[in-house]
Amino acid sequence: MTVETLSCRQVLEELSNYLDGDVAEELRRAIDGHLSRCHRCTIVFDTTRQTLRIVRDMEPFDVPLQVSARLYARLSAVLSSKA
Amino acid sequence: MSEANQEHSTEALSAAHADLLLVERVLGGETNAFEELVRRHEKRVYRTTLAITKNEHDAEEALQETFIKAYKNLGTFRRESRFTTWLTRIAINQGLQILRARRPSVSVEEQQEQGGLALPTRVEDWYSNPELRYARKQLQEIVEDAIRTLPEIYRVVFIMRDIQGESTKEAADALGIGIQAAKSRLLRARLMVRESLSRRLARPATVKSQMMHLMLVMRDALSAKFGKVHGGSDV
Repeated sequence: MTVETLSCRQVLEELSNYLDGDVAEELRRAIDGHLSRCHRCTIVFDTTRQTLRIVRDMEPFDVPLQVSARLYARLSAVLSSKA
Repeated sequence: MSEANQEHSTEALSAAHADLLLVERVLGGETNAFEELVRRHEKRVYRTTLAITKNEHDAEEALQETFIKAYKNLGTFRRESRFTTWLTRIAINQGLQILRARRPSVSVEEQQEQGGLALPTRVEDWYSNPELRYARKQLQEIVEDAIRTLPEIYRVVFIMRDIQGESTKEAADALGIGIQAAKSRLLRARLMVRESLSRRLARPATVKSQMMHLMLVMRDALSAKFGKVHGGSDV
């Protein structure tokens, strides 16, 4: 079975799927083959992986207390008018 | 975790099931069960509306409108789909409505998908531990800035997928687009965020770019200390 030679553009198109583990075995091997030969693409893949790691490590998001309070206040008006 | 696992994890399924039970109770007349639904999903909704409107005032308005609309239209929710998908869809629409009201000249929904994929321009290796070079708060701001500059259609998918941890399918369903379209937007979003971060996090190759990089780091440190510095050109 021959592994097709992918261009940088073709590999780039699959970057997102690759990082999500969402590529077929054969395609993954072809991409790995390209990465082993292509420094630029390797950097793009590595730095995108780092990007996602940084993004996911961000502070947990919280709704500000006043926003939440105002939401419940407005909702209880709506909810009680329906009752 | 693969897509399939994410979509059907026990946790995700029981959360979806819990939502359905609450919906049943609300429709059965238990209005306070709706408050429980709100508690479970206000973070998700707010994060979505904030992603779209980019300002807290509008995001809050869209947040309220979303839950009010959800409550009034709960009878139309089809139990075959996920409650979160349905709710997120309402949130996206509310956010877009407000955005459109603010900028009537820009048709947000008709934003063209970028044609060909733009090859990355910044292909420099990064410092291996950005977390050590920047204070956590600074890094957070850099990331938030990067996300804020994304076009809406990319920003929403990115936030749902890479921040809220939802599956691509959920994002696609919430946006009313196909999975391939969602994947395409996600790819572009990730590349754009990477490109933005590269400005700050790349290890510069030449002495001149090292100097410019140092100036940038100092500027970031100063603005973190003294408040955001607007204007000025990016290196």
